[in-house]
Amino acid sequence: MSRSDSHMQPPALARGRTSRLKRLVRLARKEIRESLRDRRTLMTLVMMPLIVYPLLGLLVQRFAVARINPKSPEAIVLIDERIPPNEAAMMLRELPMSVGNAGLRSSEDPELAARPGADTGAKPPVPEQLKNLTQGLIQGAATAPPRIRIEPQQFAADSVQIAVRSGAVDVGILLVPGSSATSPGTMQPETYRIVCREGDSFSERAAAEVEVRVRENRDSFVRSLMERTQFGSAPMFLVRRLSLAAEGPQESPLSAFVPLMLVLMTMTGAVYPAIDLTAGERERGTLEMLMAAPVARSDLLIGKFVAVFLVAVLTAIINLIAMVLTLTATGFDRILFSNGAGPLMFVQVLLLLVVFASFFSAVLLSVTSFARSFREAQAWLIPLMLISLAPGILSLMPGVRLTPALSLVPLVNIVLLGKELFQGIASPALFVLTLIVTAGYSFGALLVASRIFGNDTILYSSDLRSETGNGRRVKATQVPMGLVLKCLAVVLPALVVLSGLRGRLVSPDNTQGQLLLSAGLLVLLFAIVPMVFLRQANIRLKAAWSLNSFAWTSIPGAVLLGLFTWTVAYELLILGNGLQMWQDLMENPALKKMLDRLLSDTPLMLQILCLALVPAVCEELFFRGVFFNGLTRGASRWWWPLLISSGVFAAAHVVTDASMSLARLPGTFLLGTVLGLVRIRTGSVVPGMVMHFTNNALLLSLTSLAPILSRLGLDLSLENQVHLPISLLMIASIGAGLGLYLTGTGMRRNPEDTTR
Amino acid sequence: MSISGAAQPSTPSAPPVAVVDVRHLVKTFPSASGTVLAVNNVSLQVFPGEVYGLLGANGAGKTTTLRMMLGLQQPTSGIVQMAGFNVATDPLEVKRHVSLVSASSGLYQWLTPREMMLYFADLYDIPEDEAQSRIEMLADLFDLRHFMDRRCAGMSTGQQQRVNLARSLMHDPPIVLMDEPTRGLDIVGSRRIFEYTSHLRDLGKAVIFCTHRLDEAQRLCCRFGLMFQGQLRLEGTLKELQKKTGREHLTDMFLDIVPRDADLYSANTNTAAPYSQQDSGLQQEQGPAARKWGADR
Repeated sequence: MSRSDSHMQPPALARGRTSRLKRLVRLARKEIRESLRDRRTLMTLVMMPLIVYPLLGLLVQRFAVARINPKSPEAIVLIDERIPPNEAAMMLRELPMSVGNAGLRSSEDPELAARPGADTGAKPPVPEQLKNLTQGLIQGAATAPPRIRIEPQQFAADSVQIAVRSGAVDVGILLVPGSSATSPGTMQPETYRIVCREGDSFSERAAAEVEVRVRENRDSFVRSLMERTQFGSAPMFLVRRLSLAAEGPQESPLSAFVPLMLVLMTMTGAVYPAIDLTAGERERGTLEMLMAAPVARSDLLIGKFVAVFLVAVLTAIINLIAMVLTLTATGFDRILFSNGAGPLMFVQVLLLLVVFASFFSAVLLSVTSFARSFREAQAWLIPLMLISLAPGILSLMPGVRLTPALSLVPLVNIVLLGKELFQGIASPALFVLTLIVTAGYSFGALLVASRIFGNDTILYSSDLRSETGNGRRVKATQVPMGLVLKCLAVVLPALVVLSGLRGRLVSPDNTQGQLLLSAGLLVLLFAIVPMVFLRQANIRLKAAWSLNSFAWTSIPGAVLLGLFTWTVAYELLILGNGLQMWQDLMENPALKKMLDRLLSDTPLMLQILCLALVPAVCEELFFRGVFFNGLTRGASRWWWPLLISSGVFAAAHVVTDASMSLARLPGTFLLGTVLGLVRIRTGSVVPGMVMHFTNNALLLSLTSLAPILSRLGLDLSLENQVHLPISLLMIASIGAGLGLYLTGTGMRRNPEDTTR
Repeated sequence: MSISGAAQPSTPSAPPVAVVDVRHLVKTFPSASGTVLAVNNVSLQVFPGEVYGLLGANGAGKTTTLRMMLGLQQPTSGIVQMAGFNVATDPLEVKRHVSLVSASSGLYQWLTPREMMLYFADLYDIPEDEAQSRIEMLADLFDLRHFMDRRCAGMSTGQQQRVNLARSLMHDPPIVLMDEPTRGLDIVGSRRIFEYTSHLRDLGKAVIFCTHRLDEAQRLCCRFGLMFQGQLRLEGTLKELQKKTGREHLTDMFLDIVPRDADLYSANTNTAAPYSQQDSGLQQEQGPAARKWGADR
């Protein structure tokens, strides 16, 4: 430090008020400058695409070669039942000559037969080897004439056409009977119709081959006939080709893969700067200086957002260019852009990526703003990336098209739209809708990020622990949200995995063992695991579980609710069963059968123990105890914890009981909500246990009592889907209402209960 | 700039106007084990040209108090007036008049000191030409000339520290908050901080100097506030405190206000215990109450 301090200026410099926009631009400029100077950003920005795309191109080429090298695949030919089998076999005998020569006599498309496997479009000639590769990539076929295999079973003409159209067989042969005419000139000869799938080059080539063989065979037959009889001049047979439109568009897997790749690379480009500008700043200790400056947090965030967004867009552009270059160099562009790729398409794809980049940048910023350090941010981002991959994979499935509903789903809409843009079949309306929706999501995500970024409770959360050591302790009874999330992160996946393993651990025939095992699972996951977490965090179990005292009137109330809530759940279940879509999607008959056996083979008391008592106690301790309390602390509205805990409660049930399918979701959700209400009204988890137990025990007994009930006119088997009688529903609603009332009366305020 | 031994309290000629005015500040935190009272009814005033030493062990609530003064954290209750502005209603004006120097603050590794100072000038709404002249002046003052245009990533710790100090003076604030500024610094670095602080005092700035090192505070500060468990237990000039407590050194005074069985150093504070003259096995995190509860389980 130099020691001249005389010329320090007086405090409070004259300050210019630059316009906000100007300042935002400067804020963003600094963030961009900082990001772009970082070598790691440049790596993902430039090096990755330059390496990844050519590498992928090479791999795909290899893959294509591997698929082509083996002998040409067989074309399956289905034959009209009117053609005698032995005649068909004779007609389709392999010719001594190669198809290339014989094909000249093809009736409709001599060009096609003359240049086997060539594209039909007027495109510049493609080198032969490359053509094979590209063809192989789409169809898995080579240019050699396909070998012909005759399907032994024969079908009616209609069925043959359907089979060809659906792609079950490649070629069909139909026989259109001739008509004997009154005058010689109008006689209609017998016609063989060779049916192929339009636009499917393998089917077309196979049909050309079949056509050549049939024609050759019929011609020689006619020639020999004419030689023998020296009679008649008109051809006795006609061979015609018929192209049928294929069902569902033909698509190359590349057309879905490339947009997904572009999206993933755009994401990768944004990740590093997003972490660096939030968690990185926090780790290096520059964020606090920023926060100490007289700038609104939202302005800082916008600056950071612009930087991340621009880096993401740059990544997208570089990736797009690298991808196009790779595709052109390898010749894949001709497959991918089946309907021609104009500059407009690239502009559209780029626009899509730009909107996506803004969305993902905002999401990234809101996630990374939570993190205290680079490593923590990366840990946060892994689940985000996995979640993002799932819809991407969905869009890879062939035949999935963008619908108005799907265009509302983030990421899915982008990848699907990208795919359709490449195929040239994108709907302009959905394109615009997707852009608007994604822009809306970006805005929403940015709002969320601005609430999180620099929020003091998040900014200094790491310091709390050291502060608590010396601070004065007030209470030690509340469940922090983080603990609940950690607990859920362990319990839910474990629940899915372990219930899946249940059948392996104990033989499915051992029904009693199965029941006990599932009860043990509940105890382990919903009671013991949370208990371990709570103990580690040094939280009073009784408080965390809400094992509080309650008014005695709530017990009859809970019993009433337990007796009657199921009626509404049952009605919801029937409604849900009506939704065949869900049912078909999720139904697992094997599991359902097992469950039925489980319920019929075991003594009722064991069922009630394992399926009513244990779940009632454990699930209540968890969902209405720990989970509910954790949510209550972070929630601004009283009904938030109610809805979220019921949602997770329902989801956990659906996940474990695949046999019951999603149809069970609304009913279980309702049950969870009522249980949550009871928990709120009584301030304790015990009445909920009573209600839960009553509900489950009653339902178990109903299954056993079904024969008796049906004699009373009550049919409760779901297959029959009968609604409950109105009288019963009315009694039930009165009972449930009374129950709910009773749970709230006579309660006294519990000082430890935070929900009231 | 001289480094005086025991600093003299400033004696303003006019009736003193507190530039920092904190009243009944309270901060509670939710934590994994309940609510924690981090700052408990703290009131203090600091005047221009005064260096106020806010002292206490780690976790006593010093940093939280500073952050609330700057509006980085919202107080649970209490009023903070900085340079005449209320933190709750006018946070940006407060930030404009205050600077924070912290041992934990870093630099933008990919920017040069000049770029970084210009960036902060921008954040503080300083016009560009004025910012340029100020940068020149601060570069001279802190001897930064020969690395003004090199990226911070390649600079030594000492250089980085100087850049940080220069950066904190960019907007020429009347109030400077220093949060453990000497933490992790060697003798030369600490000495630079002392010189810098004296310099600020000479310029008539109000400085709050937070530290747990009572020896250095005693040399540097005009007035002291001793915090323990979120409360300001003792306050005054060294002479006043000596009179009040009958002790010569701050260290002894501090040990007096700390109960013998207090949980002074929490288990997760890895700093060595410089004043601990006893090792009574109190390093358990939860304190007596929790230990009792722990025995219940």
